[in-house]
Amino acid sequence: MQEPTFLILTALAGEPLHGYGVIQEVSRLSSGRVVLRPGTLYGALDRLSEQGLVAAEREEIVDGRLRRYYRLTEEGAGVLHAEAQRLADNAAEARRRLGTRKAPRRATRQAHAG
Amino acid sequence: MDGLERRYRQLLVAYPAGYRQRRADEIVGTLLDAAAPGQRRPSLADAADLVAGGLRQRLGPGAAADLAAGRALAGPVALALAAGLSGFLWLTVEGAPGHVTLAPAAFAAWLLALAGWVALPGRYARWPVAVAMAVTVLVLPVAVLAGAGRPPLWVVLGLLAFGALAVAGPPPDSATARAAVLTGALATAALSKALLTAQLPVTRWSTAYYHPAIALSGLIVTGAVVGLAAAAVPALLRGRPVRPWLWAVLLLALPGGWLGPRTGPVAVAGTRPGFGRLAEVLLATCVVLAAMAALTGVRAVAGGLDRAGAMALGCAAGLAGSLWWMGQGRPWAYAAWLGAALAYPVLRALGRRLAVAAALGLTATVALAPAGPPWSALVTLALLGTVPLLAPAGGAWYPLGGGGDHGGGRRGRGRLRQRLAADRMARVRAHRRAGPDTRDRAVRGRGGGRRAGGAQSPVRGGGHVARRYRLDRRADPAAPGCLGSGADPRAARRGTPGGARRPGPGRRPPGAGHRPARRTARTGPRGVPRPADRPAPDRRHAGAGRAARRTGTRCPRPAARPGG
Repeated sequence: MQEPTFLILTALAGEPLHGYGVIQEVSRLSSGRVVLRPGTLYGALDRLSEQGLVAAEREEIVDGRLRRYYRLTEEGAGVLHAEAQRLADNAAEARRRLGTRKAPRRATRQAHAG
Repeated sequence: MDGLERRYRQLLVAYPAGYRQRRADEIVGTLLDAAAPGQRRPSLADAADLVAGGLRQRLGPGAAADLAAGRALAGPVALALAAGLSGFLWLTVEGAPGHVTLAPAAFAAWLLALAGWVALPGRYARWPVAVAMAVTVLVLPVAVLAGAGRPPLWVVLGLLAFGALAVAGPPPDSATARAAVLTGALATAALSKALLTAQLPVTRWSTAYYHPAIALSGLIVTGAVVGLAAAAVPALLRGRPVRPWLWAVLLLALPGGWLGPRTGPVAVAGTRPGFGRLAEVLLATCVVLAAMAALTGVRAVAGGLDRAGAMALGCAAGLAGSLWWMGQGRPWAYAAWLGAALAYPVLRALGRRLAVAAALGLTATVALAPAGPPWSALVTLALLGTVPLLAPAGGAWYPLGGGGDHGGGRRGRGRLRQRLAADRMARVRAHRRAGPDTRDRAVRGRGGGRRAGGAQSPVRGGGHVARRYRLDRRADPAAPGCLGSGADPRAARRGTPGGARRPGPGRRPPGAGHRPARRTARTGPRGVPRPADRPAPDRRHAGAGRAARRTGTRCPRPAARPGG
């Protein structure tokens, strides 16, 4: 799963959001690193809807703008859970191995110098 | 609708019409939500993102992924070709005495772009390419203003297309990739130079500015395209996906087709220019686009081939006319082309094929005769003539329109009109739900104001009929025959406001399942309240009203509009 997809599903995990809400939430989740633009976002939402991971929930009109809310489906929640577990396992394994690492002296000195 | 929204909607044309109808309001809403306060124009990044999204939507998910993979393959090759050709042209052609143009500025920019791509870190590697593209574009107006020579347009367009591929491609991710591109550029330049010296003595090519040089560079580009296609074979043998390679080949073949190779003989100063250059370019473009369409599985390939056939025949007729005019060979062969083109709109499929085949046969006899026109012209004619032969039977498209034997053009316009009307109605509906503050804008947008009130139908003239009908109703509400008795069956079928509201017992219009017009759903026309015993016929709208209330807006009662 690519990172934008993961972030979109994560953004929708809590509560249903409309398009702009997803953009904001993804930006917040990634500390501004991932900027979703509407063309990309709706392409991803279409794909995820087709896969049954998200579903359109309701529509609202605010200031004459149509806002369609999307929610995470049960299937989407399952996929997101599995992906989160995988990432967590990877991160834990990386941490564990870093903990067992014997720091070579030269590398340490360079790190201090830098 | 303010300027920003209008521009966003213009950009959304990149999406297929059906998709636009379903999703445009939502996407525009999100774009407006995300826009900075006071923003007047879409940002460049948003625009590019929308166009790319529309293209992906048009291609479908599978083809879009293939195209993206092909783009990644083609990008570095395109940069190597552009830089190699620039170096070659600069060194050999621009060095010739008597030819001073501004092209070296662009060539230098391309060489710098290559250097930047090879040397800069990945994040910045593609910026010099964009700069080189800008310089290449700028050379044309500057050359005109300064009165200096300019590079040939096909070279400029080819370089720009290569640059676009390079920018769309990936940044360099390894030293190997950087080295490969550098090697490719050097090989392109060296091979072109080698071909040039092997084929022609210096005295001949220096008299005609770009002709032999461009032809040879085109040969190199063709070689690169063929090489890329050959690289697809191992992928095929190993069972890996081949389509990315095919996409890469087609993407490079497009500008490659513009550069050459030329079929014409080397033009020498003082003689006429080679024939059919534009026709060759158009033909190459058509072939590449048709192949792309076939690769995406687009259904409209048949229609596209039909159009391409008509266009190719038109080009052939023009070429034949010019040959005739210049007194090249036997006039009756050229007359056959002109005749075939003129008869094309009135003939049926078989007749068309026969006419084109006759013209092809006569062209062959001209080719056999001694002292005929140049081979390039005849080959071009023959190539152009094969395109209408490939077109499927029963097509009806003709560039001049109007003459189609199946009325295809007319139907096409009807569909467009329907789509536009449906688009407009969808927007009006959305804004109706929105509330009083936005409604005005919605209805005024795109001149939909008068129709928005009631005319459900996108059928041409529907608005007039519905209006007249409503006037009748107003004049005499009890008039018999307003509905169902022949006043206007079309109005009744569409369920115009008066029709759906009419309380006569069992007098539902034929096709009553048809959704009644919006105004009727709420209040009936002219703001007359709906009889209390009749429920709102449109549940969907009632739901929308609830949604609007939830968001704090209210469903307005429509104000009477003049002329509505």
